[in-house]
Amino acid sequence: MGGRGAVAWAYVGFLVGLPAANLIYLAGRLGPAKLYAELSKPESLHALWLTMLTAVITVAVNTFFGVLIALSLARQKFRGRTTMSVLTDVPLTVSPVVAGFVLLTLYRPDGWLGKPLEASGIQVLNALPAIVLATLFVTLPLVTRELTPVLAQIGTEQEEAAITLGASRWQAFWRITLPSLRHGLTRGMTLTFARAIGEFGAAVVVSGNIIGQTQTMTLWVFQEATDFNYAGAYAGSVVLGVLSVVAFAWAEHARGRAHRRRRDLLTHIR
Amino acid sequence: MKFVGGLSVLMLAAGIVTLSSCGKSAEATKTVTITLAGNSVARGVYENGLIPAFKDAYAKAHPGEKVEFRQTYEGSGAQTRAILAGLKADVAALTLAPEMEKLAAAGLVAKDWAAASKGGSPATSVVVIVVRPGNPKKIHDWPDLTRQDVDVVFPNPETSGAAQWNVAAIYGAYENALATGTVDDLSNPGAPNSWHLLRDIRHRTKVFGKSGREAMQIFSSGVGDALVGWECEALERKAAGDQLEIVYPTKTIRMEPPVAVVIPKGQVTNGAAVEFVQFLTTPEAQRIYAEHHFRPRDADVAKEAGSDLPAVTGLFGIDDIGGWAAVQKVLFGPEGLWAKAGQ
Amino acid sequence: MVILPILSLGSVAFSKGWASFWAAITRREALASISLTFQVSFLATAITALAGLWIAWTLKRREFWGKSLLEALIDLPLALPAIVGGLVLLSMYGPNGILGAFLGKHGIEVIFAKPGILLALLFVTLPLMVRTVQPVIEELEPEVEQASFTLGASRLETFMRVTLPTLLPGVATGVSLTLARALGEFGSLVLIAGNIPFRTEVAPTYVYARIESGEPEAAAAVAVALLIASIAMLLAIEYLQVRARRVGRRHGR
Repeated sequence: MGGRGAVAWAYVGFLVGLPAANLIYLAGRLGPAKLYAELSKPESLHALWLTMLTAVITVAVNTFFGVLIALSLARQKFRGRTTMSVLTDVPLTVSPVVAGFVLLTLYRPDGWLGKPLEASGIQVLNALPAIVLATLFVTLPLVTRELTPVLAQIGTEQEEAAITLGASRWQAFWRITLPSLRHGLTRGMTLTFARAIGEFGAAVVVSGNIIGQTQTMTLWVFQEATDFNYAGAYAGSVVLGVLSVVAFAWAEHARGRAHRRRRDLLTHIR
Repeated sequence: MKFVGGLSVLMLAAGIVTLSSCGKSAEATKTVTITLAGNSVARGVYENGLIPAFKDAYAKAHPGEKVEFRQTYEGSGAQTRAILAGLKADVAALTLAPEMEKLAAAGLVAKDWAAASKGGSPATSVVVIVVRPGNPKKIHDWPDLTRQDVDVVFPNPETSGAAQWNVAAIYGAYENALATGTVDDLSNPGAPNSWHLLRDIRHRTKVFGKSGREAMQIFSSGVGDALVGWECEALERKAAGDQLEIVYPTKTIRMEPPVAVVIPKGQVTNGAAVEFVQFLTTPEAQRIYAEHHFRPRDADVAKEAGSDLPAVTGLFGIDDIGGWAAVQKVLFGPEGLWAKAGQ
Repeated sequence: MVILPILSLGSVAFSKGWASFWAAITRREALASISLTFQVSFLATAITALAGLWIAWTLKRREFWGKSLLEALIDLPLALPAIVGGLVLLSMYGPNGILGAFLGKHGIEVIFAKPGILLALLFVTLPLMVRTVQPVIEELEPEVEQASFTLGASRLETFMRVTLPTLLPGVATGVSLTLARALGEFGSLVLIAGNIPFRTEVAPTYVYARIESGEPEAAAAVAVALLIASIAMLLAIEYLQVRARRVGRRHGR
C-alpha cells in the first residue's frame, strides 16, 4: 500500500490543496490595498451586510423552529412522524437551484402565496424576504438534525422529575434540557450560519440581484467573476471563505465537545 | 452560554458594516430613486456615463432634489423574466424589442413605448466577430466560424438578447430573406444557406455565456478563437486593455437595444424615470453613448464620433429580414432553427 | 415551509396536464442534461468512493507528515461556499490558470468541458465520502484481519470476506451522500460548465437556464425529476443508517 500517505496527499493536494493555494496566491498578488478597495466599495459592503443580516435572521429563526421541530420529532408520537422527519431533510439533498425555483413558483405574482401577498402590498420576490426565505429553506434541517438524537438520548425523565418537584414546564426545559443541548445547538447554529453565508443557488433565482439592494456576497462574487472584475471576485471569495471556514471549524470544535458522537454527514451535504 | 457570545460578536460585526455603509445619508434633500433593470452589456455606459450625467442634470433641473439609482444587470431575457415576475423596475434597458413587447403585453410598459425616444432605442450597435490579436485563425466572415479549427464563444439565445441579434445577423447575412424581406423556412437541405451556417457555427460553439457580458468575459479570459457579440462591448474591452481584434463580417445586423419606462401595476409612474428615458436622447447623453462606443442615433453626434466607428457596408436592420415577430418564430423556441441546429 | 413549496412546484409542472409535463421532460435537451448529470455523477461517485476509502484508510493506518493539515484540507470543500469552490477551480484550470494554461497547450480541455464538471464534483464530494467511511474504518480491528491471515487466508480473501462486509454499510451511505450532492450540484458548476446543451449542460444548470428564459413549465419538469432523485437518495440514506444502527445493536456495540 502507498508509501506513508503519498497517494492520499497527492490526491487531496491536487484536488483541493493546489486550487485553494492558487486562489490565496492570486488574491495575495493583488495586494491588501486592492483587496481593501474592492471590499470597501458601497456595493460590496452592502452585499456583505445583506449576507450577514440574512445569516443572523436565519440562525435566529431556524434555531427557534429547529428546537420546536426536534422536540416534536423526538418526544411526540404522532402519525406521519417518519414522513415529517424525511420531509424536514428534503432541503438538504435537493439541488439549491430547485429550492429557489420552488420558492419562485410559490411567490410569483400569480403564485399561491404571491397573489395574496401582492394584494396586501407585501413584496417577497426580488427583495429581502425572498433571500431570507430561500436561506431558511435550505438550512431548515441543520439545527433539527443536531438536536433530535441528543433529545432522544436524554429522554424526559429529568424534566418530569423537575416538574414533580414544582418547576413549570418552561423552567424544566430551560434549566434541565437546554444545558444538555448546548453543544448540539452551537453546532447546529454555526453550521446554519456557514451554510447561510454561502447560499447561492437558491438566492440567484429569487433575489433579483439588484446591486446594492438584493445582491448578497455570493451573488456579488458571481457578478464580478462574470463582469471583468476578478479582483472583486477574489476579494469577496476570501471574505466568504474565511467566514465560513471559521464557522465550520467552530462547528467541528463543538462536535468534538459533544461527546464525540458520530458526525451526522447529511448536515454537511451542501 | 458560549454561542450567545459568539452570536453577539457576529451581530456586532454586522452592525459595524451597516453603520459604515449608512453613515452618509443625513442630508436635507428630497431623494427620488430609480431602479434600472439593464442588459448586462449596458452596464458600462449606464453606470459610468449616463447615470452620473443624469444625476447632475436632474439636480440642476430640480433644485433641492436628487436622484439615486438602484441597478441590476443580467442577460436581458433573464431581466425580462425578472420584471414579469415582479421585479419593481422603473426603467428597463433591454436588448430586444420583443422582450419589451412582452412587458407591454403584461401591461408593465406603455403600448406605444417604441414611439418615444428615437424608436425606443436611443443608440445602436453592430454584431461583430471578435478575434485574438493578429487574427491568427484568419477569420474574416461568418463561414470561417464553421471551420473545424475554430472554437466559438457565443451567448445563449435563451437568456441573452444579444445572442438573438447574433443569430439573426448570421441568418440574415446568408438568406435570400435579405433580398426579399420575407422569411423562408430554410428546409432545403441542398443549398448552402444560413441553416447550414447556423448549424455549423452552433456546433463549433464551445461555451454558452449566460449573457453577452459573460460570453465576452469568457472570451477575454482566453477561451476560444472567436466571439460573436456587440461592437461597443468589444471596443470597451479593447479600451480597457484587452488584446483583441474586431472583424466586421461582409453582412451584419444593426442592434437596436430598447429602453422604456416600466409602470409597475397599481403604481404611479416614476416621473424621474420618464425624465431619465427622455434624457437618453439629448445630445449630451448621445455623446456619452458615443464615448462608450455605441452608435448614437443623433446624426450630429454620430458625425462627431464617426471617426472611430467604421461604416459597415453590408449593414441591415431587423425589418429587412421580416421583423422580429417572423424571425423569432423561425429561429427560436423549442421548434426553432437554432434549437434544431443544436441537435 | 417544505410541503407547500413542493406542492407548488408540482402545480407548475403539471399546470398544463400530464402530456405537457411529459413533453417537457422528454425534450431532447432536457433528457440530455439529465443523462449527462447521471453519467458524470456516477463516474464522480465511483472515483470519490475509491479515493475516499483509500484516504480514510491511510489516515487511520499510517503515520505520516502533515496528517492534520491533510484532514483540514479534506474538510475545506465542505466549508467553502459552492461559488467560491467554482472560482477556485476556474482560477486553477481556466485558460490563464497555472494548470489550465499547461493543459490547454497539450490540447486538454478542462473548464467548459466534461472534465471540468467531473473535477468540480470530485472537489465537493471528497469530504462526504472520506468522513462517512472514516468512522467505519475506525471500528475495523486489525486483529481480526491478523487472525484471518493466521488462519491461512490470502490478502484478497481477507479483504473480500472480512474487511469489505464491515465497510459496506458505511461505503453505501457515503455513496448515497456523494450521489445526492453530485446530482444537484449547481454553485460550483455555474462558472465552469459551459452550458452547451447535449455537451456540457447538466440538469441543475438546465433548470436555471429555463427559469431565466421564462419557461417555468420546462424548468419545473426537470426540477421534479431532480427532486424525486434527491428524495430517493434521502430515503436510501435513512434506510442505511437505520440498518447500520440495528446491526450495531446486534453486535452489542
